[in-house]
Amino acid sequence: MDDNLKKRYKRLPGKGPRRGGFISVSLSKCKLYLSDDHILAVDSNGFSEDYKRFYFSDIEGIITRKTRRGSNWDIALALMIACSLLGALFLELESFRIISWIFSGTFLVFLVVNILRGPTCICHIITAVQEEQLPSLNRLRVARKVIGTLRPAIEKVQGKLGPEEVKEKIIHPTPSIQNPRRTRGRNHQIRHDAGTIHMIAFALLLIDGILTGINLLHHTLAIATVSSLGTVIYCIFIVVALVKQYGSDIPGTVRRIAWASVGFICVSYFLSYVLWFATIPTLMMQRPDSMMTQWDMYRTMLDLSARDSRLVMVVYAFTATCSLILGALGLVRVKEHRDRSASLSRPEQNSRGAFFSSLPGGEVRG
Amino acid sequence: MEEVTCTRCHTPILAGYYNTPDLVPCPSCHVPIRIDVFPAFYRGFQPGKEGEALIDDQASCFYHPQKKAVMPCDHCGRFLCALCNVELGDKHLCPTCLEAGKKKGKIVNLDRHRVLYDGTALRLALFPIIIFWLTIFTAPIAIYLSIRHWNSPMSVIGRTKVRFILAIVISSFQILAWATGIAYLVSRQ
Repeated sequence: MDDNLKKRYKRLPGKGPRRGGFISVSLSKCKLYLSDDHILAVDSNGFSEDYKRFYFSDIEGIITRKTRRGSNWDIALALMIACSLLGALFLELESFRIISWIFSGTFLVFLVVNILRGPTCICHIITAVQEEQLPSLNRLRVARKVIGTLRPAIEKVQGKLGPEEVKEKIIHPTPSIQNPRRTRGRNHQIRHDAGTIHMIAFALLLIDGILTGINLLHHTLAIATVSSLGTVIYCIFIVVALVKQYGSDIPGTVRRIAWASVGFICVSYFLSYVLWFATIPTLMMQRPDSMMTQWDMYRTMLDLSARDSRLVMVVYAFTATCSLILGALGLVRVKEHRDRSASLSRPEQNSRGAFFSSLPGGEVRG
Repeated sequence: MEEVTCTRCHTPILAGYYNTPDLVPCPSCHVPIRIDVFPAFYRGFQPGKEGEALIDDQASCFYHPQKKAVMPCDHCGRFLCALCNVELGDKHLCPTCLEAGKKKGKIVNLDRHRVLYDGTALRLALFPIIIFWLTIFTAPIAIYLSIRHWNSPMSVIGRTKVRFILAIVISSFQILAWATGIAYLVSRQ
């Protein structure tokens, strides 16, 4: 019986996790299988499987949309490689340098694999009553290959429509009852967001950049402490901003800057670990009596000055530069969005052009 | 005719953007998108069939005696009208056989979920090795699962029993190791 089942289903290329939202960790992998009269989508977590069947006669279309996930991973991996290389070049302990080289090599392998796999995409399959994502088709190359395999199988069942017949169908459509799937798509509402949280987050980022810059030139414990506290607060605001911008009319550039800020926070966090491993073990060996508790170590980190080591100077300069650029850019873009929203809300100034540009899709979103 | 919406901005997309060989920018949010559309799309959403009324001495539906039978059930042989005829692949079933087949798991095409006992047994045998003392509990459970569910329905896509065999072998070695260790400790005392 297993042989019959195996012959019945042919595995299609592609494999991917089902993503459930803003942050989701899915342990189930999705795969597609081709049968004589349907496609089988299998979600497997190793302990159980869930199945969805899409019969050829019911499939109306497949939508493939390119995403930035692949290029975002390229950027993230490149930054991780840069940070690991920083550690490999500047750490004083030999063992930490070796670990940093290993990390760099590992991230480089991931980066090369990601580039070779090609751009990422999201595929949806459409039937009369549903629009279902196919998580296994998460790379453009794989999606094209699978659609190329599916098209002849589907057209064998549904037949082929020539260009003239398509034109005829568009001009004289077949009468049908209201399609339940369509109403769901049109119910999607985009809400207005003034960008207040974004503005506060970017302002804090800018202030932190200024404080770090001052710290770089003239280090004091007070400034370092305030900067640390500011970092925690703007991290919270950035995360809240990311949640708020989902499903809102916040412009694409502001969204991208918010995401870049998250990337910067992750890189800063990683660099602080590099600094920690670069300085604390050495200081512990030099001054064992003054490094008894976690608080002593934290104070020592705050006391680090750019004059103390090249690594500290590089990290401070990088952090200050990124904070200033992201904060300033973000503030400018959010201000533009707020000014545009304010002008649209004033009826006497609302022209026809402004009205159409305010519609969803009137502006590029990131 | 119905229309496709962009999966990102949900703006309806015109027919001119369908079946392009490459990605084209969405007219609204400009994200690169490709829409492959098939003939079923142009046929629209058709209403279900109602049974025809019975005329003279024609055969009637088992569930609707006033309606004309058009097809027998492939499983139980009962006559079915157009409304009761449920097409599943190339088979025609009545609602009762469909429900019974789904409950008893006899119609593979209706299975939406299956437990993978072989994968579970193998993971029970392998993962606890990290914390070895757990294997004294998990090894017997893995063997029990493998034997108990040896003939249970497995994945719809077809699998061999290799996972069961591996689970039994690995768990047996674990039990043997525990027995040897305990025997050694007892003999030392």
